[in-house]
Amino acid sequence: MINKTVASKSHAIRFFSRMAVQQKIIVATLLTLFIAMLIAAITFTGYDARTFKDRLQQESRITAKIISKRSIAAVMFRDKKAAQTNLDVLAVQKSILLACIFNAEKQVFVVYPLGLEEQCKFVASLDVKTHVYADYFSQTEPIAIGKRTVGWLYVRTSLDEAFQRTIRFLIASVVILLGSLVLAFIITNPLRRQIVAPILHLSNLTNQVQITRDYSVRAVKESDDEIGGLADDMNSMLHHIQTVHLQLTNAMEELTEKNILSEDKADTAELSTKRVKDFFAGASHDLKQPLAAMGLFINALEDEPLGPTGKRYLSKLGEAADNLDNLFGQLLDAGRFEEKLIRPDLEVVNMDDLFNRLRVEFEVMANDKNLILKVHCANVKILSNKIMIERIMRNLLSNAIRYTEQGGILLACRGQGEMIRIQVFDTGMGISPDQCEIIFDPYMQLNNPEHSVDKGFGLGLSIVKRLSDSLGHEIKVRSTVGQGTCFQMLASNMGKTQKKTPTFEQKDPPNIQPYTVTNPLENKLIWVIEDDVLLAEALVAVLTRWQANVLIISDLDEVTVLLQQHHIKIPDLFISDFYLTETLSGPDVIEFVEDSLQVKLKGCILSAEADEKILQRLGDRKIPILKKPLKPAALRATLVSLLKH
Amino acid sequence: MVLRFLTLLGLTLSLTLPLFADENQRGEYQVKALFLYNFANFVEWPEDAFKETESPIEMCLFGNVPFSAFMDVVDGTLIGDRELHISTSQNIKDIENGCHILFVGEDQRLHLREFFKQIKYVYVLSVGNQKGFADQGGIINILRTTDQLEFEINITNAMQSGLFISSDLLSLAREIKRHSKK
Repeated sequence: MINKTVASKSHAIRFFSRMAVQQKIIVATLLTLFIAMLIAAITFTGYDARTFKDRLQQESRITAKIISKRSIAAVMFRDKKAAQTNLDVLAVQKSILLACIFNAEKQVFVVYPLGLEEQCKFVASLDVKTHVYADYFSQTEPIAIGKRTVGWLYVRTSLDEAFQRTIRFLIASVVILLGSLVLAFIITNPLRRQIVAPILHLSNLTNQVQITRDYSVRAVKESDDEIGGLADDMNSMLHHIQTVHLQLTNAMEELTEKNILSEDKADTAELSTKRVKDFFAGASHDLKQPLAAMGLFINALEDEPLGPTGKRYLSKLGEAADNLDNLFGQLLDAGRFEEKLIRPDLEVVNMDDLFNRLRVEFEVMANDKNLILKVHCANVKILSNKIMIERIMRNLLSNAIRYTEQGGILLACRGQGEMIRIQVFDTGMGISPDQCEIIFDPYMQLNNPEHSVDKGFGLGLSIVKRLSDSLGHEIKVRSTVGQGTCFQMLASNMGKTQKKTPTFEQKDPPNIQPYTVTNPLENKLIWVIEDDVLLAEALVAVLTRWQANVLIISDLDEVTVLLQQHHIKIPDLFISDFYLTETLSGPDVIEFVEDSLQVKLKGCILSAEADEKILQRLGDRKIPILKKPLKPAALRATLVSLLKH
Repeated sequence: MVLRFLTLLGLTLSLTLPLFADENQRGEYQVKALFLYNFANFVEWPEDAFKETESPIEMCLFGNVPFSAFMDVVDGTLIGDRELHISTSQNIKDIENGCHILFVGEDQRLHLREFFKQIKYVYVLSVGNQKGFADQGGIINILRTTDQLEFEINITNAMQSGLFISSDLLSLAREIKRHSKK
């Protein structure tokens, strides 16, 4: 019951709180007025009812006294007529219900109105002077002369008049109450408006500001009260917001302008970067040719009789050429891989095939430095990109060989659950911990003038890092200065290969100076199919030094002429450039010769890069591809390997 | 107290008057006695009418008064502050000393004119029960109408006797006479 009352109370308060200010003021004023007037009306009505009843009683008593006095004689002389006449006077008083005169023996003497004798007989007692009942009250007045009582007068008066008067009073009160409320509502309307109008004005203003975001509007102060103060506060707030908004707008415009400028600059920078890349890409083929030739010439020059100074200069020249070759290769790679890095095409890569190729290429280089290269590979496949993973491994291996002066290098890959761990160990100089953190930063070394003369790992490793990140292969480096370094990379395992372990796994340890013992190239006929005269001559110089017989073919016409000779000597090996002219490739020439002579030729292809086009052209034929700039050691290893198979 | 007297009146009536066989007659006497007693209550005598302030009201029943027995019960009762003394007499000399209320019996009807000439003293309320009593010098005369007893008053005689009669009594009178045919 109490909870209910509280709930309904809070409900009323909630209802009130949802009202508009104007409605709240109306409710508050009219409710106050209503309560005050209601209390007044109830009080006055109650007071009036009480007073009226008292007056009625008093009047009745006086009437009874007069009648009783006047009736003394009538009662004493038993004059019913006279007594009746006295009682009939009561007719003027409508509220009198019943009047009886009793004689000394308490017997009914006369009655008013006539015919109600029976009711008089039921009068309970004549001793009680006044008795009030629910709807009437009674008076008993003795009829006495001196001390002698000769009879009694009993008068019963209805309270109906009092009730009706109270009801009339209440109705009048309600009418007055409602009238007052209406009147109060009308009269206080202007006052109310004076309170509400400024509030509504402020409210409308805030709405307007919210919708239009126009902070230049101001509230009109209409009074000096709290609402006026509110208007002042709001105006100062609006002023503040306007100021800040203006500053923000300006700042934003400035920023937009700067952004456009910087976008322009970025566009320009991007454009120039692209131009540089395009330049490198375009120049790569042209630049590689002379570089390859230079390498070969230096190699060829080593057998020439030179004085001690000459030999020292030649050695320095060789080193310089190597550096040039490395840096140049890295620069080109940096440009070329940029675009492919973003979205590499993932494929299943057979690690055995990859490791075999790497072994062939790098074993010779390692041997040249008296280093042992060990390759250990459980026949596995990984999810990667053939060209990109090869690029990574090449960079890691060439770095390892470059920085190792004694001991060896281990190339390993092994399964580790769902992952394949690919590792390159070396016994080189090692990398200090602080350097370990920055070796993958691009151009790290190029920005450092101290190392600019070094062979550099900066660019190479940054490419490795970017390639591995792009492929999703996590790469790590562990190193101890003076003991060695291990680069480790994780790739997804795609299962074992069907092939058997390659035969060269069981090969003898690499020969430190293989060609000093036997020279498998001696007196072998090697065709050099190359349109670049400089590179062709360099190849001839190197091959001649290796005591091979060389025949240069620069185009298809020469081949045709050659094939027309009767005693044509079939070459033991060929070395062919891939791109001869725009329409003719090395393999075209080889196939033409093979078709004409009905033989299978062995040899290798030279190319600036091992792109898809070349691989597609070669198809099933497993012709090794040697990359330009050509390293004499790699070339020799390839040629020897070809002769053995 | 008065009530008791009235009750006694009723009792005495039934015990001491067995001779009155007629009930109506008895009731009439009773009422006449009541009337006579009541008259004393509605008449005021001047102070001069009494020797002292506590002197009683003398009521004299003269001549043949058949209801005199009923009056015995009220003998000695108080009317206002004064006692009521009732005396009965057949001899005019007995009432010469003065009566405040004088009831004249029917047997005196023929001598009324003469009788009132003999009454020298004033302040006497004369009550009779005979036709023409009020016209012949009496003040109140009790009459019998068809169904009840009534009375008439000669107010001129009352004023000549120095009496003041209450308006209540006057209002009950069947007739109020103003001139006496003395």
